[in-house]
This record gives sequence, structure tokens and C-alpha cells, in this order.
Amino acid sequence: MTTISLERSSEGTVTLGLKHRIEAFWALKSVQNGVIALILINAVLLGMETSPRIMASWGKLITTLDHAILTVFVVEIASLLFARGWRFFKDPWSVFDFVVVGIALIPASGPFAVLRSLRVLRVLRLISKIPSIRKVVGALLGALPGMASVFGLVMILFYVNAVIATKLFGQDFPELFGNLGMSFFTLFQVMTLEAWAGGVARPIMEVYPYAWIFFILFILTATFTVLNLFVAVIVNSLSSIHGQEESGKGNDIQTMRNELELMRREVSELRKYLLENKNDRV
Amino acid sequence: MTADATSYDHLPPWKAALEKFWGHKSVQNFIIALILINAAILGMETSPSIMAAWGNTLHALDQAILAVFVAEIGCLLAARGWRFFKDPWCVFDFIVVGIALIPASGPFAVLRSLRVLRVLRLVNKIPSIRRVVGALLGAIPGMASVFGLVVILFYVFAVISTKLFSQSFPDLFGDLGLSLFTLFQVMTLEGWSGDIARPIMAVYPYSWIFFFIFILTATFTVLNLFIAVIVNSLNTIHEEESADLGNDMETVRKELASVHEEVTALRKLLESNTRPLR
Repeated sequence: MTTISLERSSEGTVTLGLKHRIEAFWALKSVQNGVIALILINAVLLGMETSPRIMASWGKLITTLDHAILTVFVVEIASLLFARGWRFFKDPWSVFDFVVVGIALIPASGPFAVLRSLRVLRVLRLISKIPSIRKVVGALLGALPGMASVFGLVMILFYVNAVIATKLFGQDFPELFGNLGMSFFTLFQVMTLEAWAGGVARPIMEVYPYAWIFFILFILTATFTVLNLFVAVIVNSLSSIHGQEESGKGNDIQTMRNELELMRREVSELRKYLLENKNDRV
Repeated sequence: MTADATSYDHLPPWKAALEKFWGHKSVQNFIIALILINAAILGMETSPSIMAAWGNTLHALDQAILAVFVAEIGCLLAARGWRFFKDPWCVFDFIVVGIALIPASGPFAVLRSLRVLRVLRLVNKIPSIRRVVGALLGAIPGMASVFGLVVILFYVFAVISTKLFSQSFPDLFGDLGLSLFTLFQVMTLEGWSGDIARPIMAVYPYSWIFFFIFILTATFTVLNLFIAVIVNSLNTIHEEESADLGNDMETVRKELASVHEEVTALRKLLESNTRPLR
């Protein structure tokens, strides 16, 4: 929501109308700070709602305030939606805001009761409002696509081991490896190393003495690749933040651009020269 | 077993034809599809209710897919001869498919459940995953010395703990094998205190020294091993990528510089050609 300068250049000065003024208003520094303050107040209110004692004495006031803040958010997003049209959904952060605020508008009853507790997700709007946090989250998310192949590898490993474990241990340990789904859960537990020996491996080894081969191989491969996944994501995102600040690639591009600039000047001079010549001859 | 674009001219024509056929893009994609279908079938075989209703169909399909895999590997084995076993990925395929052909009875019953290892052929068939695994495995030889250190640490501590604790705790440290397993558990920090160290400390109050030193040294060196391998493999992947990028940049810059020269020369030519006209 801070891309106002971009919008201005793309829209041009022709449509300096209502839509543009709406965008400019919500991008104002003071308005942005006001929204951040509202998000913080809302976070406190949603925290107070968890205490029955506070709710008993201040419940009405808190709900009213919550609704008032929600109204401001809805107005903000609706007006930006109006101003930008479909372009609004091209910015993932805008979509995030839309979903997070939208959750509060769904009537929270029956099967949707869980949505009431998801209202606190609104506090996550702070991420999209504070640029430095936004940059960190963007870098972390940006590193994920490159890790798709490692993630695929982890999935293959889990699937293969889940099928093996279900076949081998499903009969005697139905509560751990009864079907594929349970095996997946138990293997996830083993991968996180939580009670893998005392709770899982040792009881199984009493029935199948050689089960240790399976568990040690699985722990070494799964924990290793998942650790690899995590470390790689962190290192990549760190280096991408770092790379934005100072990079040799940027220098290369800079020299390339200089070269282009020179070439363009040369060509335009050449054209001017030719034109002059033509005129002279005529 | 990958579709590498080497020329097969030096081979006899039938061998070249076999290599070309199995290396073809569409054939490779077909094999990937078969592996995925086979993975789903092997998953379904774990459910007794599905097996009761569809057991025969699933089994027949599994056999049919296995036949395709055997044909693939048989053909390549025929085409390549001993060279086949020089590519580690081919050996992997050979073993993983070969497991299914061993009669799974008696002591080999466990091999039936290892049939699902066939799904790991996906790693070989999908280039991006293959590159990751290659980088991870490629980083391991450099870590051999750290691995040796870990093995020495484990062995020494296993002998010490067996001597010290086997009398009172035969379940945990009864023999060298049990000790190694228990030490592996301690290294992963799973229940090391509640299940292992505290009960032992109730009998041997000074055993905390042993566990402290072991955890500090083993966990530290193993973590070091893992992270070093990961960082090394990341570096290899990264270097390959950045080398490509650097080359691209270099060629673009050279291209631009040459265009610049070209245009300057053109201008000089025009200037020298047109001046006499005036």
C-alpha cells in the first residue's frame, strides 16, 4: 500500500481524480501511522478478550471498540479496492490484508466458530505495514521456491519410509503405524526427535530386534535433509537481503547500463549527423 | 540412465537405438508417470480394506509396471555392458528394481516391504532433485575425517559406558551394540536426562560427568558435520549457478562493447565518406 509513487507514474496526471486521491490519502505517512496504532490497540483488545474477568466488566466497551476499528480497516481496504480495481489483487500483501480483515466479516457460528479466534490474525497486518519486517518476511518467502526440490526430496523420503513402516510394523503397533496417515505422523515425531527412542523405537525393537536399522537410517536422512532445507532457506534469504544492499551483480549491471547509454548516444548522434547531411544535400 | 545427449555413433546400431529409445524425453516422462502410479499402488497396498476389494488388480498393475522397469534396465544393461555399473545412479536403479525380483519368503520377507524403495527412482529421474542429492552426497567425502572422529568418539564412549553401566543397566548398556544405540539416542537428546542419565545417576552419582562430556563433544561434532556438509553443498550449487550467471553477463557485456565499436566505426566511415561531398 506504499506503492503510490509507482501508481502515479503509471496512471499519469490525466486521472488525477477521486481514485488517485484515495490512494494518496491512505499512503500518507500520518494515516499509515494511525492504522499501525489501530492495529496495536486492536491487538491489545483481542488479548483482553481472552480474560473472562475483564470481559465480565468491560465486555461491551471492548466489543464496540473492536467493531469500530474493524470498520476503519474495512473502509481502508474497500476504498483501496475501489481505487485500484483488479490491480489490488496483484499485490500479495493487499490480498493478505483482504483475507485477514475479511475473516472478521464472516458470521462466526456453527462450523465457522473457529474463525472467531482467527480474528487475531489481523495483528499480522503489522508485518505488511512495517517495511523492515516486511522485507524480512519477503526474503524468507522468496527463498522458498528455490527449495522446492529439497522439499520434494523430503516428501519422497517420508512417503517411502511411511509405506515401509506401515508394512513392517503396522500389524504389531497399530497405534503408531496402523495406516499411512498414522505412519506419517509418527515419522514426523521421529524426525523432530521427540521421544523417538523411548516412545517409538525401543518398544518396536523388543518385537523386531533389527528395527534400529530403519530408525537410525530414517533419522540420519530425514533430519539431515530437513535441516538442510531450513539452513538453506535461512542462508539464501540472508544472502538475498544482503545482496539487495550491495552486490557485484549490481556493478555489472551498472557498467552494462553505462555501455548502453554510450551506445545510444552514439547512435542518436549518428542519426542526427545523417539527417544533417541529407538536408545539406537537398 | 539419464537422457544425456552424447552421440552413440561409436556403438553398434542396435545398442545406439536402445540408448536413444530409453533416453527419449517422452519415454522418460512415461517412466516418471509409472513410478508415481507405482508409488500410489504401493501406498494402497498398506490398507487391508483396499487390498480386500482391489488386491488382484493392484497386484497385476504392480507386476506390469515392474515388467516395464525390468525391461528398461535389461535393455540398458545389454546396451552398455559393464559400463552400466560405472554410473552410481544406474547401480541404484538396478538394486532397487532387483529387490522386487528376489523371492520374498522366509528370511527375505522384509524385502517385500522394501519394494517401495522403487519410488526413490524419482530422485534419479527428476534433474533438480538429482542435483540436490548429488551436491549433498558430493560434500560427504570431504567430511570423511569428521565422520571418522564421530565414529572414534562413539566407539570410545560405548566401550566406557558398557564397562561402567552394563552391570546395573543391561537394558541400556548391556553390550557394545546396545551402548551404541543408547549413545545415539543421547546424542539426539531424546530423553537423555529423564530416561537415561537420571536413573543411572541414582546408582552412580558421578555419571553426570560422562553424559555431559559425551553430549558436548558428540552433539557438537555431529552438528558441525551436518552443517559443514550442507554449507558445502549449498556452495557447490550456488557456484554452478553463479558461474552460469557470470558467463551470461560477460557475454552480454562483450556483445555490447562490440556493438559500441561497430557503431563508432560506422560513424567514422560515414564522416570520411560524406565530407568530400560537401
